[in-house]
Amino acid sequence: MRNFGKIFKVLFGGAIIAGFLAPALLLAQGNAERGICARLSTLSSKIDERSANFNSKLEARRNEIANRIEKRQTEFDARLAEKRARWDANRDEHFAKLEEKAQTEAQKQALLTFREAVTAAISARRAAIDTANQNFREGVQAAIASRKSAVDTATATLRNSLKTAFDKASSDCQAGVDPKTVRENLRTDLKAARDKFVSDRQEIEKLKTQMETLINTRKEAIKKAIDDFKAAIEKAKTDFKAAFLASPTPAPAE
Amino acid sequence: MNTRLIVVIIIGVIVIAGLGFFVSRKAKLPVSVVPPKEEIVPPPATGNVDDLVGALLKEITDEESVLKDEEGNTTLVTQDSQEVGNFVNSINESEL
Repeated sequence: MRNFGKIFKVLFGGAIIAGFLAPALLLAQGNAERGICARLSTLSSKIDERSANFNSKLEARRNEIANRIEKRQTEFDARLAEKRARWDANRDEHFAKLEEKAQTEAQKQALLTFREAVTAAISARRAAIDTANQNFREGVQAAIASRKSAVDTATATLRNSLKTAFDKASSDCQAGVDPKTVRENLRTDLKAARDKFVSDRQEIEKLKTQMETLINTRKEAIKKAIDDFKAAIEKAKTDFKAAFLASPTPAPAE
Repeated sequence: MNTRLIVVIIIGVIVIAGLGFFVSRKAKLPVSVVPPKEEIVPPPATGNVDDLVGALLKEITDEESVLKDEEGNTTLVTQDSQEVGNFVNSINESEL
């Protein structure tokens, strides 16, 4: 019996609160509908402001991306050049030591041929890798340009749709169309514009697949360059050993 | 007796507080997230052709460690997604 009393109190209290709130909510809804024509300009300006804000933020982000990519590429080039120079110097030392061992003309010639073959293989490998890098960078730049163009187009379409929606709402207001209808139409148009942009954006994000293709193409080109290099070095070594052994070092004079 | 007890308690509190401060400070110290790359040192020249060829192969490994870094640029390309997403989310018809 006590519980029944509590439940009754809660329900009664809830009904009183709802009784107070419902008219306020209905009034707010009614005001929103009646005031849509008066608020059109403010709403449109708010969207314009967000659009301008988006423009400046997007531009700043794009610049940041471009700068970071450029910086990374510069660092990459410097590190690669530094490593190559270090290994070139080391290779010179190896060849200098080998030259000390070559005594006969045939041995000297075998070493020269070997050195030329190694140098040519290194040049070919580095050229192939540099080309792969260059193609990759051009691909990245093309992807950036393509993305920029797609985002700009989608954004322009969105802006035009929004403008058309607000122009229509304004025109309807002036023509005396029921504010409720104006509001509903505007909501529908804004939602359609937004949905279209979301759909466009999903297409734009497929760029990630393009990036994977670029990475894989580069990887394959580098792998081929390295495989070709290893094969060339192996052959040069075999040829060198055969030529060197064919010309034995003369025994020291007693 | 009471004074000695109070002194012991104060010292104990100071020690515990000091330890807590030290532990929390150590936990906040920035930890190097990126492990340093292992530098491949060119082997010394020996006058042996096999060692020279070994050095050539090590050179490839060393070069590859740099080459991998270039791929990271592809992740930067799409880093304007956040701005685009924020903009489209700001167009909200329910504001009407």
